[in-house]
This record gives sequence, structure tokens and C-alpha cells, in this order.
Amino acid sequence: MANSWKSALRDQIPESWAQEVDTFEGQMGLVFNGTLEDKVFAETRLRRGVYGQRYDNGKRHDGIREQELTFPSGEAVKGPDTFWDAPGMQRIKIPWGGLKPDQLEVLAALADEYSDGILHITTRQDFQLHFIHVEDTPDLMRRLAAVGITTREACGNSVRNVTACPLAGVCRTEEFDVTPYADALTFFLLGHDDVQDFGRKFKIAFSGCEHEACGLVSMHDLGFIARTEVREGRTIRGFDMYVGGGLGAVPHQARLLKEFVSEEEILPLSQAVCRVFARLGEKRNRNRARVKFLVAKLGMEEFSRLVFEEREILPHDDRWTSYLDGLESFTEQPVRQPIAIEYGDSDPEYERWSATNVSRQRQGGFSVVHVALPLGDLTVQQSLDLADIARKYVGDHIRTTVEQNFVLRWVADQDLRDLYADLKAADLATPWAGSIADITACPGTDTCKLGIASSRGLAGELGARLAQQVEELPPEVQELKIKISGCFNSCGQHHVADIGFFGNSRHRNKRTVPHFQVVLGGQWQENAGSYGLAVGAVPSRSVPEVLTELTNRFHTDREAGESFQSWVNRFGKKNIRELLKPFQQIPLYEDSPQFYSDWGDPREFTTGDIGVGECAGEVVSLFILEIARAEAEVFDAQIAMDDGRHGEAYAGAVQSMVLAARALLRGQTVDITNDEAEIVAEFKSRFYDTELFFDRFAKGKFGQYLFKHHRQRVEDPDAVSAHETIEEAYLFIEAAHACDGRIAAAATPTTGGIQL
Amino acid sequence: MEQPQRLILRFELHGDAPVNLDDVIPVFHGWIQNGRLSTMLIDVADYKHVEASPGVVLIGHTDDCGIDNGLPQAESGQGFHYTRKHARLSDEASFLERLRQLWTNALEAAEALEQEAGLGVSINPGRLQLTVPDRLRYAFTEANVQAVAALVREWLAEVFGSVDVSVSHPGVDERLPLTLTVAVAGEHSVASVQASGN
Ligand code: SF4
Repeated sequence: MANSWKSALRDQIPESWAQEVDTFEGQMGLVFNGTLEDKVFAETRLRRGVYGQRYDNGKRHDGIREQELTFPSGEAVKGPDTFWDAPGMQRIKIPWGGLKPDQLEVLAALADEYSDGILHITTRQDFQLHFIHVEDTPDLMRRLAAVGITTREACGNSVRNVTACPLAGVCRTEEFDVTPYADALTFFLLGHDDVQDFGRKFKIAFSGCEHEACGLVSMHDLGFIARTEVREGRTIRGFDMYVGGGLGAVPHQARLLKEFVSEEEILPLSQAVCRVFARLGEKRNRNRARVKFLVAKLGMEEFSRLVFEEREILPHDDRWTSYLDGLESFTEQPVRQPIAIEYGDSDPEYERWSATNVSRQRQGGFSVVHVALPLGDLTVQQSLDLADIARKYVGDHIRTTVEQNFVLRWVADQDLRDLYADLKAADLATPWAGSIADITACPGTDTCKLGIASSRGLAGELGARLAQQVEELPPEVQELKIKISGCFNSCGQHHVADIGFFGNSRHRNKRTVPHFQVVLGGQWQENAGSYGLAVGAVPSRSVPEVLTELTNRFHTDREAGESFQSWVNRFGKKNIRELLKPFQQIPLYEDSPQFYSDWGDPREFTTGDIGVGECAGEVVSLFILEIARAEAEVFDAQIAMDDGRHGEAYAGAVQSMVLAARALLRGQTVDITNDEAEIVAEFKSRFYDTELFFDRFAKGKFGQYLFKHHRQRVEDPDAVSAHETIEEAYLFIEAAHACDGRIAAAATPTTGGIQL
Repeated sequence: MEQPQRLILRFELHGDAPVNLDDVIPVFHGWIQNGRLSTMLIDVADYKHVEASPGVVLIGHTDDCGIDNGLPQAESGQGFHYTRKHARLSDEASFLERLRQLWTNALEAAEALEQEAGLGVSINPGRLQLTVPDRLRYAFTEANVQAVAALVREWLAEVFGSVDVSVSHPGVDERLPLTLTVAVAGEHSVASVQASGN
């Protein structure tokens, strides 16, 4: 019997992959004994998908005080401020979401043996396993490699998982199947020399058509939309290539790099984009290091010029086109052929499920089945059951989706009822896939180090409530999408939902209250065609009522055929803000202590037990009074933006940052005029240079927004720059709130505090 | 016998009504606040939204425990599960010694759980399931089942004395971790086992 996975799987792992894992294991030894710098190991580790997790700095606030987590390996670290023994997360790349039953079985075994028995699907078609010990990761990687999965470049400053429509190849609206192209680019760029020197991550997506949502090309660093052209009587394939999209704190829509790039050209042109990004992209300031910032800095014209110039001088590589010979190998074969069957009476439960979870394929007689997972989670047993079900009905044709679900493709229509019964037996037949009840959420404060509020807690709560009501909701409400992020970084993709939320916090009477910013009117269709805008923050506990109010109002106000996005525009952000106002109140702690903790987490979301019972009423600080002016200003800027008054929108956004800076100064009773130069100078010396304003992770990023616009105003701002500045202003104001909270916490006699 | 990297015990819960997993979350957070168990506790993971899942889990460095929402088999009720992650200990203890340590720690947590009056649960330590999630050393084969079952009998004879111990398994499936179902004859409680010093 083999006594290690390394020897047991020796013959099943491609040699180069085996060597990579051995090298990584060797580096683990070096960093543990102090020979390799932890900073260097951290990037190596990330590039193998081995990610940090909340509390890995050895500190955790237990709701009463900050506790030290004293790990047995003492001071040993696996990266700056990251203890060796602290549980971490393993991200597992699944290119274009394509998964086979044997791979799913191995993933299940890993969840069982190294994690906590749960597999989690992410918003990039990846898997994540949580609470993993770093020393388990080499074996985990070997077991994956043995079934054709690598975790290489799953995190870190690298090309992340290449995503694609989960319906590619079977979709009724696609130009052609993008799968082989996504696969070719994945493995062409994996470990490529030209993608090793990025300042930040780089995300790629493929879409089979322009108008549906699945590929979400517009929110990617590099995106491909399939196109065909008829030339000399022959249909040829190509792609419109887009660059510079991204969500995150300041979302950008991708811009067209070139129309109809032939299939022979997409790999070299992508390589050229990567080279330009590696050469000219920001390296020192992580907050400006995505491609979107480089495109904005250079301008699209210059960026394109550089890319095409680079393309001209690329040394030839056979791989650019060799994959085209293998396109046919991606053609999927069904396991069972369709036959015509007459069904008798149907089960209403089946009918309800099939109405939302089954879609017809392009190929007659076959359907795609959507397996909805609550919060993207499933158990080991469910994974094994799903592997069995796939083998029985569809063979290898499973895909993960960016909505944290699975799809099973090539289900022969006559099998749908039996398949439903099998899914039901495995507790995998949750109906309402893709509806308002099927909520997407990032990990948030459950496990993410950057999480501010509990996105999964909120999603769980809303999901449970909606599951009870969804059947009774009007169809236009049933169809809405809700997406939730635990912070502004947008991993839950809240910008492209009808109704999005991202976590933040507010300080009231010496306590911190979890909040969610409401983001409305994002567009999922048209490949994430436009992003929603923030309309106001509400306490986390008020979100269910806010959702009810919004959806009710949409239902009653809506004109025939009007989409939620159009309604938001017509109803107006001003009216929506009025609608939110009653829900923005924070009750006194003594009256409603639950407002001071988050969903699913009973720990008090504050800095400690202070001032309880002393309030005869709200003590409104100078900061609160002044920051309200900043919030009103940015809100007006948004209205101007909606009306197409871009210059006013831009000016208002900048002014709101100045007002927020002033609010902080006033909060510290600094005597200050309304002179912008004076405010900026004082803000800089008192809050920026002292790092009081610094976010724990984003550092001085938000302060830089103010300085940038103060130094030089954008001349004749267009829609893009006005929109971006409004986003920046919102983040600056959020940062001011957080800063005020930290100052108050530091002034409070307490044994510790949550650091936001 | 080789040392397994991880062991899990599961006891069925008894009580007047099923445990509401929402009520378990604050209990586990309280245990972290108060250092209720002798092992290092880190955080609480909530999977109650997934059917037949580990439910609510108290994550520790070497040991996890939790209350699940039933096993995949429909007839199963809720259980209290306790995991010892030996790979994180790098200790030389034998399989039998690992079982002993698992038992001691699991019973400490079981006792703490029974003392949470709000949950109203009791645990019968004579009805348990042992899982060995280590497919390298203990694949779910008939031979491994026999070997582990013999060890389990030896171990439980130490705990309960010379009583009948029946060991069965739900059916060999090599994709699953090796799992044994154990029934010890007679009436047992956490308190009685603790009192017997085993
Ligand atoms: S959005 Fe924020 S909380 Fe959510 S996963 Fe991303 S960084 Fe973490």
C-alpha cells in the first residue's frame, strides 16, 4: 500500500504538474524554517490557490473582546501577518466551469478529508474549500491533478479562471460553441512567461452571443463575444474582443479592442494584451493595478495601438492555431437519445421545478437542467449523488455557473421526470433557479478577510423568506436578481444585479452597526451591459423590509413590459432615496439590540460594552451632521448623472468628497473654513499622513481619490469619468464613516474592538 | 495499524423536539468567548441552509464539532458530530490512542452541549458512528472495515467494560470514507461514562 498520495498517484499526474506541486511543498519547508521570505511565499501560495482566511492574523473579536488565537506553531507565518496554522481557503479553478463526475468525486473527498464537509461554488465557476491547513494543500493538489485539475494561478496576480457561458454548445442564441476557445486560451496562458509579472489579477470571459447575460464580458479585463461572418460564401468564426472591464470598488465597462478577431488571432492578440499590461500596468499601487486603470490612463486609442504594435513583434508560437485542429473533440455526445413519450398526469412539484429549472437546448429533444444550490454550497454526499446522476443521464456534461449553481446538459427530455426524482432524493431539486429566491453571495464575513458585513448571513435570511413567498410573487418580481457582496470589492457581483447590496457599517452612539449599501438597476443581460448605482445604506437588519418595499413599489408603479432597470430610471433615484429613508433609522441599542449584530452572527458588531443605558436620546455628533451634507451632495450628483449633466455630476461628486473630509475635521472640532485647499491640506495632515483614514486593506486608496481631483479636475467630464467619480465619492464617504468609527472606538475605554 | 489523519464520531441527539440550529449558533459563539472546551476554538460555520449537511459547526484548530441537520438517509434524526484532525497534531499516537483522545474530547463537548439548557438535548454515547476520512490508508473496503471494527471493539471494551458491542456498516462504497455504526448494549449516558472515568 502506498503511504503517501505522492507515491500513490505518481503515474496519474502529468510530470510538469507533479513537479510544480513538489516545488511548492519544498517552498513550504523553506518558509517554515525561515529560509524563504514569507512575502515571497505568500505570492507563491496565492498562485497555487492557497488563500488566507479571516482571523489568520491570530486575532478574533468574539463580541466581547478581541481574543488572541495562539496557534501551536507559534510565530511561524505563511505570509505577512498570516499565521502558519491558521485555517485558510483553497480555491480550485474549473476552466469554463466544465466538470466531470470523477472530478466531482475527488472534490467531495477533499472536502471530507481536509475541509469541513462542504463544497462551495464561487461567482467565477471555481470551487472553494474552507478551513484548510496549509500543510494539507500539496496532497490536495496532487489528488486534483490526478483527475486533470490544477489550482495553478487560481489566486494571486495572475490570469484567474477563464469563465464561459454554462450553456455554450447547447444554447439557442449562441453564434457557436465558445468552449474550445476558452479552453485553448486557459491552457495557453497558464504559467505563460508573459503573464507572470502582473500588478494584479486578470480575468477573462467568453460569451457565445451579445445579448444574453451568461458570459458577463463587460465586467472582465479581457472578454470575447462570438461572431460569425460569411466571407466568399464560407462562414468563418471570430470574436469581438473587449478590454478593461471590471467590478471592484470602481467598476468599469469593458471597451471594444477590436471587432471580429479571427479564431487564429485570438491567442496572439490576448498575449499581446498581457504583455502590454505586464509592461505598463501599475505595480506599486495595487489599487490602480487592474487593466481598467491602464486603459483609462492611456486612453483606448493608445492602449490599442500598443497592443497591435506588440502583436506585430511577437515571436511565432504554433499553439496559437494548433488547437483549432482539436475543435471537434469538444463536441459533446449525449448519453441517451431522445424518444417520444406520452406522459400521464404530472406531479405539481415537478411542474413547478421544471418551469424554472429546465431550459430547452438548441438540439431538439434535449434539455439543460439547472441545479440550484443554496449559497453555492453542497455536501459530500450530494456531490457523490450528483456524480451518479450525471453518469446516468448526461455523462461528463456538468458545468458550474457564475450564479453558484450547476447545470446538467444533454438531458434527454423523456428522462426529465426521473432525473427530477433522483435530484429530489439527493435534496438537489430546489426550484426557482435563477429567480429572486436564488441569491448570489460572496463569502463575506464568514471567511473573507476583507468582509465588512455578512453577505451570506443576509443572503441566507432573504433566501429563506423568499422561498416561502416566491410562488405568490408577481412574475416581474420573481424574475429579479439579487446579488450580495460583503464589501465594496464586489465579488458577489452586486453591480450587475437588479437589486444589489454591499456591506459597510455606520457608527452610532459609540457602537458600530452593520449596514448594506443598496445598489439598484444593474443589468445582467447584454453581458452585464450596465452597472447599478448606490442609492443609500440601510442597517443590515432592515434589508428584508427594504426589499419588500422596493419590490412592492416596482410592482404597483411599473408600466406594462417595463424592466426593473427602466423603472429605477423612471421612478428616479430621488424617489427611491425617499422610499429608503424610513428604513435608514437606527433604533437605540436598548430598544433593538439585534440591529447591532449581523445576520447569522450573534456577536455584537461593536467595540464593546459602553454607554449602555446612559442615553436619554441620540447624541448626534458633528461628524454625523456634516457627513449628511456630503451624502446629499453625491446623491444630487447621481441625479445629474442620470439626467446626462455629466459636468455637474462630476463637480458634485468631487464636492461631496471635500464635504466628507470637512465632516471628519469638524468631528474633531477642527476650526475650518469652506475653502477646498484648506480642507484638503488639513485632511491630509490630520487624517491621511497619520493613516487614521487608512482602510486596513485598501490603505490610503480612498484618500487618493480626493487628492487626485483636487490636484487636477477632469476637463469636460464625460459619462464614464462622471460615473467613476461618483463611485469614488461613495467610497470616500464610506471610508470617512469607517474612520469616524475607528476614532470613536479608540476613544472608548474597551478591551478591544473590531477593526474595520 | 497505520495512523488515520482524521476521525469523526457522531452521536444521535435525543430531545423533546428537533434542535433549532439558529439556537446553536449563539451557544457555540459563547463557548468561544468562555473557552468552554479544552481545545483551541476559532469560529462558527453555518451550513444549516444545506439539507443533510454538517449544520452548524464549531471550528477549532485540532477539533471541530457541530450539530447536523440529519444524515442523507431520510429516517435519520439530528446528530452531534465531533472531528479530530490528527494531521494537524503531527503526533505519534497510535490509532487506538487516537480513538481514546477523540472519545475524551468528544465527551467533554457532549457534556457541555447537554448542559446548554436552552437546547434541551441529551446524547446516548452507546449509539455512535465512527468515520475514518482517510481514503489513502483506510479506503472503505471490507478488509479495512474488519480491521477497524476489531480495534473499535478493543477500544469500547475499555470504555464500557465487557458488554455486547455490535458493529455494522451502511454498505461499502469506496468513494465514501470508511464508516461504522456501533451499538453498545445497555443504557448509557454521557454522565455515567464520565463518572466511570473512561
Ligand atoms: S466582496 Fe469583499 S467580502 Fe466579498 S469576497 Fe470580495 S473582498 Fe471578500
